[in-house]
Amino acid sequence: MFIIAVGMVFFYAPTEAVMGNVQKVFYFHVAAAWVGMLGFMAAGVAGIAYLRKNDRKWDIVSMAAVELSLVFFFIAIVLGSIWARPAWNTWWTWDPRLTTATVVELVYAAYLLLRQGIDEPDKRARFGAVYTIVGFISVPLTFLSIRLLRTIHPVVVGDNNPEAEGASA
Amino acid sequence: MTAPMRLTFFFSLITFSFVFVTLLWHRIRLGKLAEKVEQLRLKLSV
Repeated sequence: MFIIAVGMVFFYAPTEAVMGNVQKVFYFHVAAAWVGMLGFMAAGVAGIAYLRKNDRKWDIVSMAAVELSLVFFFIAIVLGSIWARPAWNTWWTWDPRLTTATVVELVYAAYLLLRQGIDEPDKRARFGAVYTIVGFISVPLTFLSIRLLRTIHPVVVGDNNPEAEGASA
Repeated sequence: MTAPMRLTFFFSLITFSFVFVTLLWHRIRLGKLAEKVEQLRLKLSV
């Protein structure tokens, strides 16, 4: 399936008129970010389930979702940086979207550190569950940052920002 | 976005979601096994 997706990106999808070949990174960048955000949401839902049912199974689900989402979200940030270089003429800028995405990555990296710091399993699971629920606030904030704040990051779904640079023509 | 671009985009989204769910399933299995090992270790130490 992944090979088919790569094949479609490079051989089926036409080259974008303004940005050229570098726009192809968009297909992986958006997909990785989307999956990462959904994973963080899944971790929050598993956190709620743990607090309601007190079943360690949900703590395992929550931790697994955070670990994987961190990897996918990091991939999205790196791919975004690769795209930003030709589109914005810089690898990184403290744009609201990039800043909030960094905050999300750090919030969930801190979740792993928090877990490492608590020895008692039940206490660790309870604190972790609360943290994933509270930490999830940063995710919709990142999603909405390009819609609510002045930014150069293009909007893929919904109305496009006329000030965005690097949007598809 | 043209129609082939849109199709590629949605296929890419589905592929990444599938990869994520597969990895998540394996990670949860691993987590449950680690929990079992921990319980067995505690049993042995008592």
